Amino acid sequence: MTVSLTCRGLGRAFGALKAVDQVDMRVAPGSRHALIGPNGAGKTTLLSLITGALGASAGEVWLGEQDITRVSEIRRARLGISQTMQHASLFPSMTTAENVMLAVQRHHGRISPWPRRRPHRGRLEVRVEDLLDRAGLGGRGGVGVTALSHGERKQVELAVALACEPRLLLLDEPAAGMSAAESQRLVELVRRLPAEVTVLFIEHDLDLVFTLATDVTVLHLGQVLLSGSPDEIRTSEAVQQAYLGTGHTEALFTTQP
Amino acid sequence: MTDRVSWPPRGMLFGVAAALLLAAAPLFLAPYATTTLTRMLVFGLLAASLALLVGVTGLPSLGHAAYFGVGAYAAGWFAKNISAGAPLSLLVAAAAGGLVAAATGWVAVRARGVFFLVLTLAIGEIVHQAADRWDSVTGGSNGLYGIPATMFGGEPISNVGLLYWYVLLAFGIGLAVLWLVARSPYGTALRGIHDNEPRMRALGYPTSLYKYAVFVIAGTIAGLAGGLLATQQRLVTPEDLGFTTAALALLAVIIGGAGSLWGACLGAALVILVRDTLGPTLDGHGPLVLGLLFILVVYLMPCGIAGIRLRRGQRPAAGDSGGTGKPAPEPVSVGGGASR
Repeated sequence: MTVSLTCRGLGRAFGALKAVDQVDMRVAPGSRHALIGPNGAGKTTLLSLITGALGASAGEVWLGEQDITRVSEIRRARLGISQTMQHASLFPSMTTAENVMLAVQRHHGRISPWPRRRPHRGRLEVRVEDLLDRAGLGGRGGVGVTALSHGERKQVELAVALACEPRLLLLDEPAAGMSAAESQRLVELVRRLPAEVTVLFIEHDLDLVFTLATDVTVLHLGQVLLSGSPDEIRTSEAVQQAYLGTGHTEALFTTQP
Repeated sequence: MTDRVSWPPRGMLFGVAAALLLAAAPLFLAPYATTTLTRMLVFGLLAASLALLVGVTGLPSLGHAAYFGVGAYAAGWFAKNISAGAPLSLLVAAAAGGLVAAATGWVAVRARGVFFLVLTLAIGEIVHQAADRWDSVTGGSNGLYGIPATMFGGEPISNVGLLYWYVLLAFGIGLAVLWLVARSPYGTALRGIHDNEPRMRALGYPTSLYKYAVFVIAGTIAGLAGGLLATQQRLVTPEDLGFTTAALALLAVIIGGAGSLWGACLGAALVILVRDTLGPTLDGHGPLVLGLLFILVVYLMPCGIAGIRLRRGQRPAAGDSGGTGKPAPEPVSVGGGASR
């Protein structure tokens, strides 16, 4: 079932610093919603408030019709929120397949304290291989994640996130550090995601943002500067100024509508 | 995932060979050597249970001897006052170790890193003090003595070889439990917690609950090892659950290679060999030799004995060694998305 995400007056302060301040944002069910803004805008903090990794100082977070503001990070994950991190956050002593298996077994299997029976194990392994293929890592399952390139690690992260069959997928700069080919594969992968999956992603590559996004929210100094369609964002002077400062006339967005 | 694995796996062949060799040991060893080997098995099981905590889950405990000692006292008291029949006292020992671990673990697993270390050290000291003061049950500083020999089929197991086989059987069962846990999906989750606990939480794993459960499992097996100690020594003293025992168990795990169950057993054998066999011949310098051994292992074999075969380019199957006896890999980020 497709879900929406709603933030109402959401805030998080670190001492006197308001990293996220009174954020109102709605991510429509099934949308591909981009969250953009200059460095330090509070994008990753906002994602952490949505996943529950950080507690909110103010406001509410709703997943569909459920208020999840006080729900733990673990419970939120079980409700269908899955994420990839800004810097690949994996399990370094394990192989690529084992990394994905951790997510697969949590979602599909019983975490029993005795070894899994062969038929069940086989089913999960097929699922892992399928996810690795989808993430462009077919045949790399036996490789330790520390031996992978940065881009490949990001792909593993994505496979891990997809293994949980999320209803809401949060991607924090998924293409950062990826080669052009890897970025293209990522775009294809996100495009091929089932329509039921709602995606909220942070990305600095604005060409990629306007290729993928159906909606865009611009965050600046912890607050929502503008929320709208890609066209509205592309033509907004306020957004141009937030990124480049006043007095600049450079084209910020190279992709034509 | 699709790697070809030879059948039977080499690890299993080694395991069967080691089991046969251990089973046959009393047939060609002198009684004193058999007794030493029995002590190695007892301490090996304690070290292996600690390896499940330290190496597999990443919980470095300095109080694990508490559960070992509780098991030893429980088994000794039960054999002395209720029944010395096998294997009742061992079951009581395992239950006692598990219960005390359950009572203390919920607090301990909420701490991390050095705080966990200090908290477990404090728990160990409290239990040690309790054993030292609770004269009516533990015999105080004199210890619990006069524990009767374990009875089997109405006969006491007083023969050194028979006692060895009894201990070996219980050791095998305890080690099998640890091995199965390490190889299970739950064991994989524990390795995940070791590697990157924030990410495990983000995946929806209730990590505190998992750590608590493994703490209780390790405490139960340590209690069983304590029961074997009482069975073998027929005397339990506060030193058996003191800091020295806890530190030696940790030493055995590090020598063996944190995370490797069989490595921990080998490490324990080495510790017992130096402490009990070489120690007396070194004019009281046994502890010094152990200290030097520890320094040498940390510098020359940072992954312990289990790391030797890894350095030859092999990778253990998950659970074969608890699955984490690998050289420390270069870190992928474990931070998650806390930065702005």
